[in-house]
Amino acid sequence: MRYAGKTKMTCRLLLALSILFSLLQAGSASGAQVAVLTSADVEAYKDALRGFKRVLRHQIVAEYDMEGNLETGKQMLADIQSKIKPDLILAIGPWAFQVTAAQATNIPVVYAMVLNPSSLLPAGVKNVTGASMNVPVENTIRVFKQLGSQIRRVGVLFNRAKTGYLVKRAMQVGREQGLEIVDREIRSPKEAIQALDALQDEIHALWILPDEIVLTPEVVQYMILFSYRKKIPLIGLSERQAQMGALLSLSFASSEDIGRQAAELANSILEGQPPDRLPFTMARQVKLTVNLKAAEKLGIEIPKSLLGTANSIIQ
Amino acid sequence: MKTRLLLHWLKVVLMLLAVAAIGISPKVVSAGGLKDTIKNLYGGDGILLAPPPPGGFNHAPHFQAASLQGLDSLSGSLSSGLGVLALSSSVTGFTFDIERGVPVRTTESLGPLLAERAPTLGARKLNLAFSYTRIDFKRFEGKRLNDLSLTLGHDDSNVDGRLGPPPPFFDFELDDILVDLGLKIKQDVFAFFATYGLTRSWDIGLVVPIVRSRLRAVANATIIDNSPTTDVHFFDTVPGSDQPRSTGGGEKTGIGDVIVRSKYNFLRNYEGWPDLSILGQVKLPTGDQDNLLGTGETNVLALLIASRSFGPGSDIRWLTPHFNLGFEWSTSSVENNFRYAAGFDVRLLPSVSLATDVLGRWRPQGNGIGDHIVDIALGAKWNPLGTFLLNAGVQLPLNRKEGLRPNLIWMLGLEYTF
Repeated sequence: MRYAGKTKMTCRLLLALSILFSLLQAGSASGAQVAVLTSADVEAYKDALRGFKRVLRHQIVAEYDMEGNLETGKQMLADIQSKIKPDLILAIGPWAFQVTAAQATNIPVVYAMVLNPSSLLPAGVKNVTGASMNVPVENTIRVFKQLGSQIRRVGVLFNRAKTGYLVKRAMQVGREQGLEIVDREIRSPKEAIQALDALQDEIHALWILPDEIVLTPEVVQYMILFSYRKKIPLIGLSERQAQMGALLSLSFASSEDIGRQAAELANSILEGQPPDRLPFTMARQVKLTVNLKAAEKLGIEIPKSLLGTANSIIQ
Repeated sequence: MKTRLLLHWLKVVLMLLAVAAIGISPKVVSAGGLKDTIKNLYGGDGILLAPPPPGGFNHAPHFQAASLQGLDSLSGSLSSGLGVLALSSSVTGFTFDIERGVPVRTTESLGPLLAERAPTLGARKLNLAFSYTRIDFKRFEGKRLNDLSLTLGHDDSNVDGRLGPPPPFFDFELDDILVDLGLKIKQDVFAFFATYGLTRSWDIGLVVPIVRSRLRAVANATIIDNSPTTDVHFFDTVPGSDQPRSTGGGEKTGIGDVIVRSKYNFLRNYEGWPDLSILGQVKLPTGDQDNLLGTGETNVLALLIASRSFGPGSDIRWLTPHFNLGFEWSTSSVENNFRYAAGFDVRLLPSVSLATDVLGRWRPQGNGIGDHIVDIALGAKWNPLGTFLLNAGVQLPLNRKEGLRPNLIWMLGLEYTF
């Protein structure tokens, strides 16, 4: 009986302590202030902000929309720095990222929904990190491997300034997985066509990288044509490219989750971690689209294990 | 940021207060206003013929129009002829290019002229617009306004329940007076619009029209002598009797019926579906009904709006079909009506759009005059710079035999979004 009374007492004490601890945590959470700068009014950014708000343990004190205008963004950033003086700035989208990364400020910046951030970040900037939209190269390499052992050499076109870091990483991961990345650097869409023609007997698959030059409509169309002519699989960056004729596509699946990733980084920074110790993240939810019509035309059978993980199938 | 938000809200509150102030201010009502012009012809007491010789039977007040054949309901017919410019929607917006990871500015058509499309203005945006509309009414129930006729019958003098003989003495009851009536009715409407985006999906708007109504009536009366034996009716120049010709009318300018509107966009960019919005509108009886400046009724409109933009790419969507369907309740049940509009706007050049709409209004409990009105509107919008737009358009009746109708309504407008 006395034992039961003591247990009850201990439970009550623990409960009181846990309430006190949560209150203290809540008190510290509302201490740090975050300002948000959004590149433009698009649904994907709103979803990212929603995800950010769900996970952030601190307070958002101001939200600004640049409306796609860099000059407006600069003025808003000046406003944030002089009037709001937040503990952290969330920059959503590439323009907000560009504006915040270019300004000399001590305020830590976390970005979200930015593609190839390392190509946009000026040298020497240490207070910036964030959640990119990039699909991890590991995912793409894994998909190539799942397509079959006949795929040993994968061709990529790239521009060193934009996607050089990606190719480097892909080569490293590919080597580990027994896949060779055959790269061709290009500086214009015209060069892309020549580079592809030069690759024709060297590769077993083709990969569209998120590179501005590669993504010009004529280069994408030529890559699709090349894939059909050579009967080799092509992996694209979006469901749209799969609809256009790419065999597969891998893209980020959730803007909201990218926002959540950004909030996790923001929480770490506001709780004492320096931003330069936190590497930028890549999309952890990835959408796979399979084009079965393209598979039929290419004479490729998509393994059931791969088909089973597809989020979208074009019949 | 907070101050800016506060200022925006202040603007909204001021707008609402302005609406309320106009709504509760006393109406200026003058007896015998423009509305009664036709009724007031010939002194307003019917046609008085020459008085009888001493000891004779007085025929002067025996003629009256059994009805003004609907011409006494001019105010309702006049006001229903007016279209209201669409609540503005953003000239440009953004879509997201998932491959490049950047927002892409969309190029859309510049919107319809009188019908509505689903997108809203955008959060904390203010659109100010002005329009001028000219309406020159030409027909009433299919008859030309400058060539109307009213027949005034004799009353039943001997109260025998019929007109004319027997006895032969009373065959003068068969006489009629024919009034040839020419009307000129014109309206100029100067409308001021303000639309404010409370959120990304919710707009509120206010329309304040200044209306100038002009009405001129010229009547010429002729006695139709139908009695075979008697000849007792004639105009004379004796003071106290009417002349065969009478004129009336005038011009009045004042505030028209103020409109408060709100649009909510509840479905946007959803694959396989059009964008959908609901619009609520209240028309307040602020216009002087007696002087043809307003309807004298409060109307509440609920409208469902569907539209979808199409184009060769996600960033270029140059064709926008739209469809509106709604019901308007009025404090006068006769005026309750269904509203519909269908059409499209198309961006032909980067800064020029053309728009066309079929606009209809059907009164299920109407009085038989102008119960179903169908017009076609054709117009163009020009976006010379930034968010500045110039509009021009015409509205043509598709069923001219219904109600009081012009041959053509034309309108000019300009708008700017801050």
